[in-house]
Amino acid sequence: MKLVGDIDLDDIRKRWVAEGSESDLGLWWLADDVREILGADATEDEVRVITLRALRPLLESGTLRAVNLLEGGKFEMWPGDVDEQLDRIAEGWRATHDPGIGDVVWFIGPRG
Amino acid sequence: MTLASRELNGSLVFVFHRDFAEVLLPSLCGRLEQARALAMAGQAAEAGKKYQALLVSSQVLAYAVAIQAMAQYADRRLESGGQISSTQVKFASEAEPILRAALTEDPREIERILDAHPEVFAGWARLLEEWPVRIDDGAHKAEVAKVVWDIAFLVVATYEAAGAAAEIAGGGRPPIPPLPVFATAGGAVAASYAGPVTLEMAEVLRKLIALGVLDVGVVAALSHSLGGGVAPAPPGIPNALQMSAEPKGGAVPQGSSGNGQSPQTKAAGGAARANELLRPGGKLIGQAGSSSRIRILQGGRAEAEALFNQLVRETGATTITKPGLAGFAELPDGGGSIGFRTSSTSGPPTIDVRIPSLGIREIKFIP
Repeated sequence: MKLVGDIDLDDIRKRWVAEGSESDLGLWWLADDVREILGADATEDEVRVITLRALRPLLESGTLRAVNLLEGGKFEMWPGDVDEQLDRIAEGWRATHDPGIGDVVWFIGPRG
Repeated sequence: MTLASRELNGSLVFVFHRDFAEVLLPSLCGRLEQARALAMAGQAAEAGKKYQALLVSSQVLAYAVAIQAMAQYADRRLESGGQISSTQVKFASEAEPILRAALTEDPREIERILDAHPEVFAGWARLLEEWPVRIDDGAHKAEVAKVVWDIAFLVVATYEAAGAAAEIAGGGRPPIPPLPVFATAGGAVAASYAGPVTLEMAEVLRKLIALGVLDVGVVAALSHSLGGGVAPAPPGIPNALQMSAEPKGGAVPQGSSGNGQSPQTKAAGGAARANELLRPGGKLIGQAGSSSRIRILQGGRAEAEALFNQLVRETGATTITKPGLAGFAELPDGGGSIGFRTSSTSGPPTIDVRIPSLGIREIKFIP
C-alpha cells in the first residue's frame, strides 16, 4: 500500500465537500474513493484507517456532518464529539466488513 | 481524454493535471472553435491549418494523459520517484517539440518535426506496454494495454483516413466518399477514447485533404511517424484489421490481460447492462451535478422508481430489504449494488449506484 500524501487527501476532501454540499454521501462512497487511491492490494483495515484520517478534519470543521437519514428528506445528527463519532464509524465498519449503500452512516454538508 | 485526465490526482502528476486542465485544454478548445468559425465562413485553408494542428496535438496529448496516469500508478506502487520522474522528463522532452510545432499551425514546421522523430509515437506505445511489467502488476498491465489499444486505434483510424485522403488528393482525384473505417465498430472505439472532437477533426481533415486544402506533406509525415499507411500496433496490440473486426469493448489483446478478458467482459453481465442503461454510447446519462459522478435527470419519484425497477429487472439484480432505503438490490456475480431513496436531504428522489468503473455514484430526479 502506498503511503498516502497530503495532496492525495486534500484532493479527495475537496471532492467530498463539493459533492456533500448537495448530496448525501454514504460511508461506502468515501471508502470506495480511498480504496481506488490505495490500489487493489490495500486491505480493508488500511482503507478504513485512511478514510477516517481523511474524514477527521472535515468532521472537526463541520464541513461534513455524520447523520442518519430519516423519512421525508429529514436527518438526525450523530451525537458525540468527533473522536466518538469516528470510533462508532470504525466499529460499524468492522461489523459490516465492507460498508455498502445505506450501511453505518451518511455524511452531508451544511443544508440551508 | 478529458475524463481520463480528471483521474490524475497524485502529487507526482499534479502539475501536469493543472497545466492540462487550466492551460492546454482551454487553448485547444479555443482553437477548435476558431476552426469551426473559419470553416463556416468559407475560409477552408485557414480552418484546415487549425484542424491539422489540433489533430497532431490530440495524438500527443492522448499519450501524455496515458503516461501521466501510468506515472501516478507507479508512484502508488512505490516505484522509485527518480525513475518515474526520468520517464516523465524523457516523454516531455520528446512531446514538447511536437506539441510546440503543432501549435504554430505551420504545415512545414509540423512536417519537419514529425520527419525528425519518425519513431516517437511507436516508442511511447512501447513505453506504456513495458512500464506495468517493470512494476510487476498484471492487472494494471491489462488496463494499460486497453488504453494503448484505444490510443493506437484512434491513431490508426485517424491516419488511415488521412493517409488515404492524402493519396487521393495528391493524385488529383475527386473528393472521396466516407471511408469505411469510420463506419465500423472501430470508428466507434476510436471515438470512445478521445471523443467526438477527434473524430470530427479526422472527418473534416479527410474532406479538406480531399479538396486539396490541407497540406499533404504534413499528413504524409504523420503517416510515416506511425510506420506507413497502416500504423504498426504496439506489442500485443491487434492491428487495424483485427481491431475493426472486434465489437466495441469486446476484446483485449491476449497475453496482455492474462485471461484475454476486457474490463467490460470481466464485469458481470448485470453490470454490463447497467453500463448500457446508465452510460449509453459511453456518455453518462443526465446532466452533471456538483460533480460528474452525480447525475441529474428530469422527473420525480415515479421516474426514479421506474429507472430503479428497470435496472433491477434488466441486470438480473436481487432485491434485498434494507433499513432506511425504499429499495436495494445487488447485481449478480458481485457486479455492484443500487439503492433507491424516495427523498434525500436536499430533496429529490435518488438512486445510489455502486457499480465499479461506471462513473456514477448517484442519480437525482428533479422536476
